[in-house]
Amino acid sequence: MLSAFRADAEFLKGLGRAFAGALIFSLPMMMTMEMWWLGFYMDPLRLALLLVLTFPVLVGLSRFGGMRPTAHLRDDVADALVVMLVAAIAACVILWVFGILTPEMSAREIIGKIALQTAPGSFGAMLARSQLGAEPEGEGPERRDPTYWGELFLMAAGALFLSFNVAPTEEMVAIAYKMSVWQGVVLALLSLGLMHAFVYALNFRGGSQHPDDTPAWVVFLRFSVVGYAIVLLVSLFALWIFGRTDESGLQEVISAAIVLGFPGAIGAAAARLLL
Amino acid sequence: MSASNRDDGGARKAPETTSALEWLVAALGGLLVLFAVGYMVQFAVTHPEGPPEVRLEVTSIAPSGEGYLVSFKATNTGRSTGAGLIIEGALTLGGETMETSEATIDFLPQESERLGGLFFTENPADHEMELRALGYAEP
Repeated sequence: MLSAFRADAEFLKGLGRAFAGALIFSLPMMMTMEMWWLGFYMDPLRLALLLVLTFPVLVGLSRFGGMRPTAHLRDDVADALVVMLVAAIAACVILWVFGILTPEMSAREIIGKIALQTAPGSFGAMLARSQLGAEPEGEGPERRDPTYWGELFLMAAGALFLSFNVAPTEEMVAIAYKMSVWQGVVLALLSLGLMHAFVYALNFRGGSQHPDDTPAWVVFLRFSVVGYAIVLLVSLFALWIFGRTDESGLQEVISAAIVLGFPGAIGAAAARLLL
Repeated sequence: MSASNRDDGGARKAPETTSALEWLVAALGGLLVLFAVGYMVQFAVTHPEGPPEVRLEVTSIAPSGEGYLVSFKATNTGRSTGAGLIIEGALTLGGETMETSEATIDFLPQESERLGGLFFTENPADHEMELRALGYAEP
């Protein structure tokens, strides 16, 4: 009985942290006009897909960190559902306070606006523990050292995390318009170089994946190049979800993906720090 | 290292199981997500894309400053969002247009309403008044 109370108290504390995390990470998006507009004009099927895909990413993040150390996959599933609820409630309250949800709006508009904010908010809520909570002492079982595939997953999550903030804005496409083809190439190389520098720097922080005797070019190929490819795919996905690829030519789509891939690359490379 | 500190470390090391309360909250979250996904899919199936359809309704006519304010409500009964929607109001007398005013609605999502107003110097009560949507852009 006593232990049940203790577990509940821990859970409520975790909920508080999750709310804080949801606010920290989704406030910039709740204050972005495009996010309100996308809530009603984006394709409802893509919005549904975004919610459906958010769930397994949250479960994965919960495995590698998340709200608490977890023993079984079902506990990660529970955490993922909890943070989605937390993010939805946070979005509902904040958007209403901002006057972005009003009685003249249709159910479709209101549900769309809240559902769209739930994705980044639940990311933030899930990361709240590793960001705001006390760092566990020593090697707890929750600090699993990710496998290679786990590292790639974390990179994708990191890319998604940073690119989501800017993907819905008009600026992504506007920057792509302003850049010449050569500037696009330079930006892609810069992203790749920065990514490698991050991965290499983090390597020295005791990463066990690529010990010192691994040649630099292997690390470059296995982590930086593969990572940047993942970043570009994540960028394309984010642009597509927000309808930024519709009615656009191939060259325009590729430059927008490179532009969005810049913050994405930083997010992916820093994923082990962020997540 | 105090005893409490060690306790804490011990508690962290043992992975927690999910409490009944958390399962309850998780179930609520699951229901909410299922509802949102179901709603969006249902909406997509029952609302195939189509042009917006704007219905305008005058809600009030009141004196305002030197002239008059005609408040209106725009409702989109069509199948997509109208962006940059221009609403024009015209006062006519015996077939001759005496005065026009316009207002722009940034976004009129489908099935939603937006409120606006048109200013006139002439009294709308002395004229025939017509409100119509001039045009829109796809968002």
